[in-house]
Amino acid sequence: MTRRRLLFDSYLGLGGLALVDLLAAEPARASTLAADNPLAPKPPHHPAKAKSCIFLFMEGGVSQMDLFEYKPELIKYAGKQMPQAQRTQGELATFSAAPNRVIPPQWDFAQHGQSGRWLSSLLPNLATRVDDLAFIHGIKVDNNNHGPAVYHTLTGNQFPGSASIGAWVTYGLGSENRDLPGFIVMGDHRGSTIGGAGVWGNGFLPAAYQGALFRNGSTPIVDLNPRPGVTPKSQRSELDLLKWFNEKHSAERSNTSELDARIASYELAFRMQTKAPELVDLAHETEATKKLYGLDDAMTEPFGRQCLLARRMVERGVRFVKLLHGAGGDRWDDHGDIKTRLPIHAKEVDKPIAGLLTDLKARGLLDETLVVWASEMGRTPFDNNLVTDKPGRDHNQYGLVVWMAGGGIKAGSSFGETDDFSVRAAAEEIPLRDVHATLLDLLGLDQYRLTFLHAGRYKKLTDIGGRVIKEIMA
Amino acid sequence: MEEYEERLHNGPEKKELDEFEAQLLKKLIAVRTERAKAKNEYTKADLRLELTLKKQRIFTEAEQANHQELQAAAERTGDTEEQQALDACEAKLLVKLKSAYAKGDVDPAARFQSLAIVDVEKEASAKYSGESIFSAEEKARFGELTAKLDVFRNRAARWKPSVLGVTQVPGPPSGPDIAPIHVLKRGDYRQPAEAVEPGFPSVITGNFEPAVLETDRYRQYPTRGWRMTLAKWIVSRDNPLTARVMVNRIWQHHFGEGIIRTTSDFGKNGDRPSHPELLDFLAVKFMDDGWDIKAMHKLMLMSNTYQQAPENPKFNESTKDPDNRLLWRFNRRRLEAEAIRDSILQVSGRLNPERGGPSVFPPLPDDLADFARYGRTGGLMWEPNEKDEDGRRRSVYIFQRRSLPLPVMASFDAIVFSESCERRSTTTTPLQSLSMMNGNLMHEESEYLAKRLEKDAGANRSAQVRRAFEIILNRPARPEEVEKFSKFSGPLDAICRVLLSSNEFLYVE
Repeated sequence: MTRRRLLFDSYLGLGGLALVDLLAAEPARASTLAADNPLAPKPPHHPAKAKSCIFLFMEGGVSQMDLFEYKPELIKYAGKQMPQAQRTQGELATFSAAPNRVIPPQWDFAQHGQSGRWLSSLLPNLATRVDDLAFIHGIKVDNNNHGPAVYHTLTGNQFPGSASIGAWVTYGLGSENRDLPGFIVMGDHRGSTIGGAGVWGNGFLPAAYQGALFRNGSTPIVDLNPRPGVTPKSQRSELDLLKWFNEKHSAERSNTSELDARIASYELAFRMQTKAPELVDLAHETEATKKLYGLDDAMTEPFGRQCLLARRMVERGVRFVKLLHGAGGDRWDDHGDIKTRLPIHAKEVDKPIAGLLTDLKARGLLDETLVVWASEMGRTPFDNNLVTDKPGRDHNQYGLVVWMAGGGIKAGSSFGETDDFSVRAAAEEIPLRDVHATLLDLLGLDQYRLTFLHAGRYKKLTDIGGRVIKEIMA
Repeated sequence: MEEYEERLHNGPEKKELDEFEAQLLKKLIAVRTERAKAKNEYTKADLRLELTLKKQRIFTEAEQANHQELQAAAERTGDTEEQQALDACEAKLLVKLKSAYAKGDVDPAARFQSLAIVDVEKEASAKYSGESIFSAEEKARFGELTAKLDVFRNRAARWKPSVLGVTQVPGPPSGPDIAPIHVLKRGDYRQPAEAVEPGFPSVITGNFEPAVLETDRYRQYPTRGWRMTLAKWIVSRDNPLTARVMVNRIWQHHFGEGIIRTTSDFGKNGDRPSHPELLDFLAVKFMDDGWDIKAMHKLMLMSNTYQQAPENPKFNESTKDPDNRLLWRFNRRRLEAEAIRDSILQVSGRLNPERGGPSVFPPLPDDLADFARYGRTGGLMWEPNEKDEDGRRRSVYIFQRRSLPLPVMASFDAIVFSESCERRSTTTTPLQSLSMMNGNLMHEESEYLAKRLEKDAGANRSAQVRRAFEIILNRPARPEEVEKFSKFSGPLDAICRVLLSSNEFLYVE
């Protein structure tokens, strides 16, 4: 029995026992009960490299050539127009009237780790973990504006209404913790993300797979706390009466699996009321751990807290955790004044993410957790002319960088490459669905088997199917 | 609505904003003047300001018009050459501007006097301004004051009647013709193949000829009648598919499964009908009744099949048809999200049955209040209806905000209207239970329901329990139920919550 398994089991506690009771009392119902609990764990399609996934999403479009892509040509062409061949020929729907002068990378680059990976000086902490990461460069997103691109990155389709990645994964694998939601989302404390609930929605999948929005503070889930004046004791007696009444109702009927599942769900909800606050209570974390995530610095504290909570969630068997960084004016959308803005956002996440990777590894969780870092697009090498005296970069749907770490990842590897100006893939562009296919594959899911019949068509996350990027897999 | 319009244009919030904007305008003018004097340097922004001036202008009307045209062209096309032309024109104008200022023809400082409130608004809400003229505090205050006023703007907009208009597309000679329609190779718009005429799917009709188009007989509209032709084909008496699909969906709604279970696929890959003759009977009846949906509901609901019990002891042990395809019993069915909310409001006596009108915004759970803000300046994406009873109208009137579905609705499988939904799923999750246990709707309505019971049945607990069963479950309470519930030590509203959360209330049999 692994340490983690033990933790799950003790976590299930009374819930586990109640479930066992239910199964023992009515063996014939066992299979239908599982069918009635949409979040019951399901076997993967093939052996999974990772059991759970932490998806770090940076909203706004991160400048790849200021963080991850070292392009000396940009220094050579600083302040000048790019050579004609490298121009985007109007295909890139930028907001500036025309491609303007090249902005050189604003920070020094250096090679790090055994892999000799180039990173800019904006990510000093991530640099120490660089040998754990695998990069994908030159990913193409379907749309060059935030809303649709965010939807594409997080739901596989640029139009709203599709199931988000987390919903697909919990639909495919269920959840290992019955006291907590299987798919949890934590938003930026500064406001709602573009697309709102749609980016963690269930889309056409059943509602049980929608992401549960965890909020800051002691009431992480909507309607988690009893109303003022309702004590645990009075609520317990209320639920006991409900249970008595519902069980009597069931006893007079046949085909009651769905009814019984609802009786159980009230018990689960009751337990969730104590388990969820315990999950967000960091009192038992050591000072060293808190420091590792940057909780001691006001700038890194918010995202650091999200990262630490993410670790606590995967530790407890939550299947998919999505962390959102950036909201409203405080996102990575550096059209102007990139020199001031980018370091702020980079600093906000650098230490927390490095801390998360370090902590997962130290606890032996990194091998079974897939960590994915993404934004919804890259940025252009040229100034977008919106603020002439404080240059910034425009959107670039061809320049997305994604990195992954953890279970099944070939650490220190990299796949794909953009041209000398970081505009688009140098050879063949990588459609975003390839990234999605890879993510599913690592979690033990086959993109062609993970389907749902909707509107006369078997829908899948990768639409027409993506190529699993074996090059970054161990 | 007038009340909100009045408040929007003349209320104290408007005055506060006006005063603040006037202050900001003074600062804007002062700082811009100072900067102009200090630097004696002019940017394209100054140039564009100059170009909009009507009086005392440096540039000729022709120069202004020319610039306007180039700018529009550059913006519209996003083309490099157009942009270069604009840049060249602006460079020249900038030289002229500088020389005019240098000669002292006009006082540059005086120019900034023509800045207006709209420039204040632009500067205060600019996201990407490097060194803003306004301080962060000023910007924040501007945001706050605008947000306060936006509340009334939104309220006024809520009640403003609006209609989605459809206009006729005028064809030639009075308007442009429709571009030829091409088959696109691999669905790629850059690879057009042969041009095609409108026609019906040959896979269904077996007919490869273009459709005979329905033209406007009286030539009242210069329309080609494509849509009319399609509409008539869809509802044609010779086309059984439309009526079959529709009655099958209504059937699915009442019986849990359609006669054809794949409600959106009647083709080769779809399910076979369980009762083909019935499906055809209903389809023909539907057409005969003039596509009357209500009559179809009535026909189904009054049938013996619908009125069966969910238990059929005669066949309960049978293994022949466990899925009940042959409808030997009723399929027990959970209420949809809308019906759950409406039913709770109905039994508490507080459902507002008003019909029509604008969408409503029921109260959000307290936990979500700050999530409903846009960013930090405070625009609200969900302001609960200011009149409480408007928030208690039927659920079909709830405003559909894709980025913020009402949690109680979303947890009970209500859909967000961004995808078609052939069939609601019915899941059972602890989040549903949480909203029944702790949600604001449940708690508010159970309190009102308790008051209703006290009014109906007096102070006697057994009488209250009996009345509660009648109102909530539509049946008399049994003796053992009266006994058990009367012994319960909690308040009356807790008893209401128990009954409203019960399977008997949430499932239809």
